[in-house]
Amino acid sequence: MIKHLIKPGFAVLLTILAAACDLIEPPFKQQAGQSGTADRKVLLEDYTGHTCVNCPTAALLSQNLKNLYGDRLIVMAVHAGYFARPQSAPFNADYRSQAGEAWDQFFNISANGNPNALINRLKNNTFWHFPPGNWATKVAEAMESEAAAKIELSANYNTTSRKLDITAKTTFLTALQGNFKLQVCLVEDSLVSAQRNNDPNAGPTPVIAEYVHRHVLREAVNGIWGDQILSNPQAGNSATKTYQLTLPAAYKHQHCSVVVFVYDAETYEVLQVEDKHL
Amino acid sequence: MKRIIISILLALFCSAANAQQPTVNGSFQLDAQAYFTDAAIGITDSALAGQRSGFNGFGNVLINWGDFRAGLRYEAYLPPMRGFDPRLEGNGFANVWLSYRTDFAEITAGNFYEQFGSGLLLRTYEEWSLGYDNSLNGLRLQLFPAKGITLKGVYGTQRFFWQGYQRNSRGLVRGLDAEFNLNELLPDRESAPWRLSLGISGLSKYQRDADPIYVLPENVGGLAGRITAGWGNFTLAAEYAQKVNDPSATNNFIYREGRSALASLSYATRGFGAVVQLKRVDNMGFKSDRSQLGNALDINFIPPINRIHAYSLTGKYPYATQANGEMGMQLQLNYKIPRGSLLGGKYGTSVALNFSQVNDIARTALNDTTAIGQDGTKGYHSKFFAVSDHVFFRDFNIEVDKRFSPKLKGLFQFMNLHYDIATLQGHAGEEAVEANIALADITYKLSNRKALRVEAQVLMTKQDMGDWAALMAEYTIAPKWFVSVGDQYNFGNPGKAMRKHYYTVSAGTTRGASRLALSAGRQAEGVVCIGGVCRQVPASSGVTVTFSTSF
Repeated sequence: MIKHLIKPGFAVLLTILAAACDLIEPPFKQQAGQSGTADRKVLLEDYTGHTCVNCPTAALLSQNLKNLYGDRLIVMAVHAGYFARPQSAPFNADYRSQAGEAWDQFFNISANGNPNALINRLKNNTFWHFPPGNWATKVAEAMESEAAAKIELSANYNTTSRKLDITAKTTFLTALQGNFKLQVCLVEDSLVSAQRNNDPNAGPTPVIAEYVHRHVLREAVNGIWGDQILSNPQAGNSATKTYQLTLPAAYKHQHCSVVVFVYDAETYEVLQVEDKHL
Repeated sequence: MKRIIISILLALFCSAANAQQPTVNGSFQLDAQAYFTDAAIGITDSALAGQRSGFNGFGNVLINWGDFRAGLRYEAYLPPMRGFDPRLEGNGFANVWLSYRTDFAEITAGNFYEQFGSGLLLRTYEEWSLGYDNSLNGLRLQLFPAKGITLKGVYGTQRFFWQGYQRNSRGLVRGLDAEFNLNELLPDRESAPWRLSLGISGLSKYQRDADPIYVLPENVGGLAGRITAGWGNFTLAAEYAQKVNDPSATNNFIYREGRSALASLSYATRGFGAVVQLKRVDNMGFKSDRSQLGNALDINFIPPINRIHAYSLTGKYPYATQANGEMGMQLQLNYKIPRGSLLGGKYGTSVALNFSQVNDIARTALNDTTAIGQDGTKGYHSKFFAVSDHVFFRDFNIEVDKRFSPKLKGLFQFMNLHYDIATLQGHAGEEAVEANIALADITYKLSNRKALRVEAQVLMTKQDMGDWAALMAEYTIAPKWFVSVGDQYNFGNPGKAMRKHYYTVSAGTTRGASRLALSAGRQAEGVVCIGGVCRQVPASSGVTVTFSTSF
């Protein structure tokens, strides 16, 4: 009886296994454009450092996603942790910020390695960070969610006095429970200095001498955890916050932008994000 | 199907009715560390980042009751000790399972470990010292339809630290394996001069595709075949595995199929043994979550074919399997020079010679416009036996183990190493380490109960952190006590300020199956990159307590 069972049994098993394979034919990349709700923007915080050899590859990925989603994806590179520490030349640049270091420790990012990212500060089950292989999927998922708030942002910069006036009006689109905070950040793009690299597709290895660091978090304008704006808001409730600062001389205003996001003070989930170039 | 389920349930009830007394065994272990600042090796308050202690512990219990077996393992990492994956932080029952076995079948429900063949398609295992566990949580059915035939089926999800399975969070794993032992299967062949067994496995994972950039396969399957044959003193074991396109973070999202082959030929006779092994791996990383890098959610296991060194300096540069591509070989010769001969002396001398080398595989571009390994393509071409000149790892070592007198014995080892630290540890741009390492391990028996063991090692290299020396002395009062002191000295570090001592002092006692040890000392800082994610393994200085017992 066993002899009669084995052959057909294996034929059945191999058929099941053959069916359990998807053979993909080219093109391997999606041809379709972006999806999701048009008013929903997503924040990707790329935790990185200039001695992190795999970070240029991750930066390429975030740029590909930016190309795909355009203004709807806001990327902020947070230089923090061991791989961001300044070292002897050519790695003597220091792009760390007080807020970046605090977030890195709080969300336990660089302890888990670089590169890793926060995506809308959504919790990844029991931890926060997402490895680069997850970024595209998680950003796509976040894009699909309904926008719960909108932010109207203005950033007026005086080139003579270097004074920057920021106004952010947050309007809730649905009623929500909880406390909500507004975080205002200053980001500088295209900072050029050395970066370690082990991916020939991302540039020379092992060091890219004049690497262009994109979307670098310079500082949190309103403290590490931002300002409280509303509790248990109803649909249509809004809050306006204004900030004024003097742009430090080291920052090139042509490359600076303001990134503002609203988040749930309890879960840290980002409800909406907006940016404005100076 | 209903008849099978009813049969199993009936068998369960009948067995429970006739149950014998249960037997219980298990083990417990507790590792706790306290950390101190140590400015000399760069451990400041900020480097400790508030972590003043680490605690890893487990309790493992196994119950046998007639045809039933059940087990559970509690684990706690509160927080994990430095050097362990921070995602381990947490506590709870990591492993709970129940199984029932008859002559025809064994079914297991819960968390289980399984391996098909040498593991090229599936191996789940747990390694406490590394904080690694990729067990399956699901069901396993084994059938024994005839003597010499074992059929297995597994279905489940893998452990991922403390994250429970949620829909679409990671992949489902399902696999089938069949093994035929022809000596048992064929009549009158159990005492034949030859031995032959054959096996075949199939495995598939399912993971949803929600990626906006790539068109990803949701079902990725693989097949493997294996043979183990023996004739007289010779044994041949070989396995080949192949899987379909599996774009993942590990392979930079290329759509090339994966292939892997492993072969081993050994000869053993009294006083002499020889093993030669060959391995080829081409795009064979296989994880149940395609986005993961590093040591997590591995479905398969590519066995290393190089010697695993146990001493601190010979083991300082360990090889890390390159799932994206490698081709390696190993030759191991063991010879016992007979006692009474010129070289064997009064007690005989054991000599072991080992050589292993692993190169990258040779790859060519798909066309003039596509870079090798470019994402969203088939990746590259590579002929099955094409080897690159790029040497990842080479280890030549010779070991002599000799007893000089009833009281004195020694083990001596020399190792010549080539270690591509840029690839194997992610230290981009660093020159490959060329090292010569020598060690002597001498044990002198002071009395029937007391012994002194001294380990002296030296590592000479111009690369990485330069030369090291290590000395350790251990005094044992059998069977209960031991005390040891040791130091590793980085005397050849290119930076004079970095020429530090890393000393340790340990003491412990063993009572029956229980062991308690206390140690204090320093551990050097390092950076480890696994699968593209780099993590700093910080220097540490502190006190460690280890307690283990089994029953």
